[in-house]
Amino acid sequence: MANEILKIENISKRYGNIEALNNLSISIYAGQVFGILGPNGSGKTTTLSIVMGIIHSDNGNFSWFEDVYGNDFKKRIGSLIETPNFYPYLTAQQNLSITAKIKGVSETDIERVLILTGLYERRNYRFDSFSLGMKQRLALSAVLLGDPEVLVLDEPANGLDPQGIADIREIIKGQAEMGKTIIIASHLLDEIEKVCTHAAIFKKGKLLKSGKVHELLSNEEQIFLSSDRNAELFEFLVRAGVCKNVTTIDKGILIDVQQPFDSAYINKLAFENGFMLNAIETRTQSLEEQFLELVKK
Amino acid sequence: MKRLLQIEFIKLVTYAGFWVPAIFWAVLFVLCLFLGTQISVNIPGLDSGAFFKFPALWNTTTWLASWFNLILAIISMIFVCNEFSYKTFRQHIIDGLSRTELFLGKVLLMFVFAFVGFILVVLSTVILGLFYNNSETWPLVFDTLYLPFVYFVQAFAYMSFAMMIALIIKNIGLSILAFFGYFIFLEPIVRNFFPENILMFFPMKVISNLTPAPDIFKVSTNAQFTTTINGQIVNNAPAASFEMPLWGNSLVAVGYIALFLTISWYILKNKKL
Repeated sequence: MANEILKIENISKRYGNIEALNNLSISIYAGQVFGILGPNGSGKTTTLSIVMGIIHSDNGNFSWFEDVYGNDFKKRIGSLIETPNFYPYLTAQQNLSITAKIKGVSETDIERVLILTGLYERRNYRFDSFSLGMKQRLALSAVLLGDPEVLVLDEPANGLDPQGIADIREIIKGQAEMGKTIIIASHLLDEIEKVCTHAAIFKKGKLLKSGKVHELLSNEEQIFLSSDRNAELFEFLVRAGVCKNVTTIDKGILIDVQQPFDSAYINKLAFENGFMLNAIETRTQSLEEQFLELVKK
Repeated sequence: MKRLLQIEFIKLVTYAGFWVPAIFWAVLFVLCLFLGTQISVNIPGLDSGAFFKFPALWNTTTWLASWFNLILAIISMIFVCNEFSYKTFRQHIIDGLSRTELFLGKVLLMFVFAFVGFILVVLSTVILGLFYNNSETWPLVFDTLYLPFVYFVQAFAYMSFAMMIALIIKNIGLSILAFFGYFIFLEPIVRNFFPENILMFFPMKVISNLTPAPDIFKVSTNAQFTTTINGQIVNNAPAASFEMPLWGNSLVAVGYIALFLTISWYILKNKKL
């Protein structure tokens, strides 16, 4: 088994009456790109803040690198939690100099990360003159300083335009290809699906589901149907009992097929009962759809 | 230690919020000293130039410099509160500094500020000494040489108190208000309810008493007298009323510094950043 990079055991955290985390346990192993998914207030940032030492948990414990490195573990981690936090009156270069000094990294590495994130030309501009996207890139530069083994990224695509999101995705993919372990919390489920090997889904401080992304994605087929009489078709399908789940969605009906029935059978059944279908297509649920389904329960 | 200081210096090297008050502090101090040398008090028997002769000169410069320690306290509060408003304390923890290192970085910075103040006082005293002293008063230069060190303790004490306030409140404007509210109103009012032997142990009283006004100044404001014989001052005024011996006052001040720093460290150790 690969090395255990982060082990979280039974962590709980309350803010007054609000239970931010409830008995959370996760293990993350070397080389994984681990996505943490959840709606606002589900405990994603609290989890990352606890493991990065910004806040203390009420119960439970965690360990990095199987505790081999004691308190020096942060030198092996690059982390961006929530917003980029820099001195607004300092330039990109000066801000990264502070980060380099804290991490004990040579200042010569600053040039490398600024080139990697496309900020080299703006290295002598003040942080407060940067757009949100550039601030995020600078934060990523700080994360990559010293070429850490592990990246912890909380909403790294926050505030970025589509091109910026694609650029960040490429950087993350590049780091993953280099064998780095990446822990990434995001609302952008499509991004998680594209980048991550593993994922965990949080809701109200609890872990709902975790595992490999392709295992989390259901292999069961769904069929989208549309006719001129969608309401009647919906009632017919519910009564017919050929589907596990029938839901109406925008301009149509989505059904989870019950084996051994398939789309050809559903088409024939609908036709024989007087429904002319305008559309019928099979699809597998995206991570986003499954996520929404899970957190709605 | 060196790394922590380097980090703090990067933060202040291009920061107008530091340089403007720091230059204001230095220029105003030197200007006040210069103006002091130009003022001639027309009181019979009082040679105003005596303020600038040893050993009174140390007293004059440290007393005057002590008023500007409040600017150092404001600078310290700005630096601590900035870390909260920019969320950079939080970022430093994420990047690998411990909370104790965050605390030590600020303490070292205050130490440097106090040391720069100390150097400024010593330099200005020596330069003024060259102009206003002669072979008779120069040998007295060592008589009150402890005063710049006491000034250093005072500057550090004000900044420690300021840091504690800033860590509690986290907002620059409110911290400055709280600092001056305590310094100017709260403590003086509360002191009125206590007898002399207790009120002299209140923190701001102890700290401000570290640099008493020059003896001759007290003499003149009390309309008491110094006589001159052939142009030389014969100071027959009473010794400065320190309320508590200066060494005792200094010890209590150091105790307060330890208390302020301990509270600050405790707050930083436990506060959500």
